[in-house]
Amino acid sequence: MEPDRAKPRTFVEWFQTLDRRILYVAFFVFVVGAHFVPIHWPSTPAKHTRALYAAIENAPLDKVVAIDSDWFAGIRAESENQMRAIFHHLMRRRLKFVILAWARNPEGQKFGYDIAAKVAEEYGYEYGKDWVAFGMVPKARGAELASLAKDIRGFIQTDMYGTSLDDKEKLPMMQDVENIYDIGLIVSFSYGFDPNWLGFIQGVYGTPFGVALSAIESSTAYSFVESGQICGMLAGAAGAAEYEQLLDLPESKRPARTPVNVLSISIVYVLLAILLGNVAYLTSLGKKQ
Amino acid sequence: MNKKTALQLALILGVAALFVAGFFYQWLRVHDHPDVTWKTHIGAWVGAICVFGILSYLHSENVFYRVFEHILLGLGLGFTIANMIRQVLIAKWWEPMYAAFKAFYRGTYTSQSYWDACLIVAGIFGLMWYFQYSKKYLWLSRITIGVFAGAGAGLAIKAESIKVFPQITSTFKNVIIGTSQAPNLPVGGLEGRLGLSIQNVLFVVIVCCVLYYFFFSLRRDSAIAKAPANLGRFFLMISFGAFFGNTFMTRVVILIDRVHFLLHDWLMVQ
Repeated sequence: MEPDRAKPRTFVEWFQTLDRRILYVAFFVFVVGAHFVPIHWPSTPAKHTRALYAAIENAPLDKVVAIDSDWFAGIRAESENQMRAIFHHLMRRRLKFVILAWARNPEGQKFGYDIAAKVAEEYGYEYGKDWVAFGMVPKARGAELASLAKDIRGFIQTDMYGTSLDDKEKLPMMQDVENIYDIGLIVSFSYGFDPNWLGFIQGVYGTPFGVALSAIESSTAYSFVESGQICGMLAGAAGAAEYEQLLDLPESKRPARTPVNVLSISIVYVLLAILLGNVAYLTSLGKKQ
Repeated sequence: MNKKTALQLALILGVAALFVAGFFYQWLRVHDHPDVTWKTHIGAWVGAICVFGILSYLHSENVFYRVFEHILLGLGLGFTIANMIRQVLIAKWWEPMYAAFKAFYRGTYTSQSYWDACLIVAGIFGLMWYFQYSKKYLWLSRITIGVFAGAGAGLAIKAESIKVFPQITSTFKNVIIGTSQAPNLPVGGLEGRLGLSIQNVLFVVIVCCVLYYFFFSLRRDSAIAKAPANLGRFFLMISFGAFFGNTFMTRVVILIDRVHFLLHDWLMVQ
């Protein structure tokens, strides 16, 4: 029988018939409030985060690092901080890098370029000499990666400004990059990773491959980390915060820390709601019996 | 006025009041932030209105939400198409092909010009997709689809085998770890080796139980035959719980990011 929503009799009944929108508003208020709580939860970097850190630490200086910027505005909350932390590490080690962009996620190119350009200012990195953002190419079920591995300049052709990758004056860095053997490490930033990287690059040429994913999709990558096919992983905002901690960045350069603190506090609200909801449900069952 | 209308009106008035308060608050504080210009101000205001527009869906489906939904879809699609034309079709197809034909016309061609001229085949092949809209020439689109499906299947077989086989081999784990098998354990000695052994035993047991759960060729009449399957289901439930936890994390972080934007970029609260 439908409970009477207009006249709830007891707290248990009131709680069970509570309008979900009230819960949403309460959660919103809780999240706003959590921004002002000066608590920093202690965290220990996960094994897969440390593995990615080690992969970048061991990346050869005579090769470039390929950054696959395959993300979009919807996961900016997670990917932006992950990418910034990785760029800090690359530039701290003076590693040269290229940013790959795909036509299916055109925002990825812009975001990748903007973040790299901002961090590059701090480290004195020069576009064309130390890093390059590639022009977009379409995805084609892995065939694009097979082509990329054999002839990078021939396949990508231009950077994001339309400058030819063969231009020795504007892009001197690219003159030493011909094929996959000139790439020392690949780090892919995406919502869920593209397994074709394993099928056409890592599994064929043995190039180390790391990922930075949204927390929601990180579950699918754990088995590949366990098997060693993925050399390391950043999982969601927590992964970014852990990486910032590993880099020992100053407080002002740890933007991932705030969302993770707020997230930790927000979980308390959800746990409380689950607990109260179950208590109310079980109590109502007892009353019915 | 019924309760629903009153609630909606109250909500709209509440949001409007928030906007007005936000505007005056910003107006008062803008002088404290020399790096904030009216350009960034307007950007923050547009962003804030969009956030509230999309979040209004939590109350109910409404016109305000639908307007912003369509704006978002339109912007996303327009951006993708523009970039596809500029960075892919023009830069990687039209320009090299046009240069190749020009070189042939002028007699200045090289060996690369032949390959670049071949791009015209890709163009014709791609255009054949559009015969999907013609009943008479539908068969032309089937040629393209056939080639794409065949090539896709070939690529997928290669990629899948390279991707999956290492997973199978990594499942075979040593359940008894000796000193020579684990020289670089973080916790050394017997304690470390014992820990890794337990971890590997658990891993193998869970893999076997879950595989058994999906093995339907045997009848599971007795309790002994049912036990591994039940255990497998139990482990699956744990993994689904972990998946759901991760889902929650991503969703909440997205909300936190927007709240952070409203507080810091829009309201400029330090």
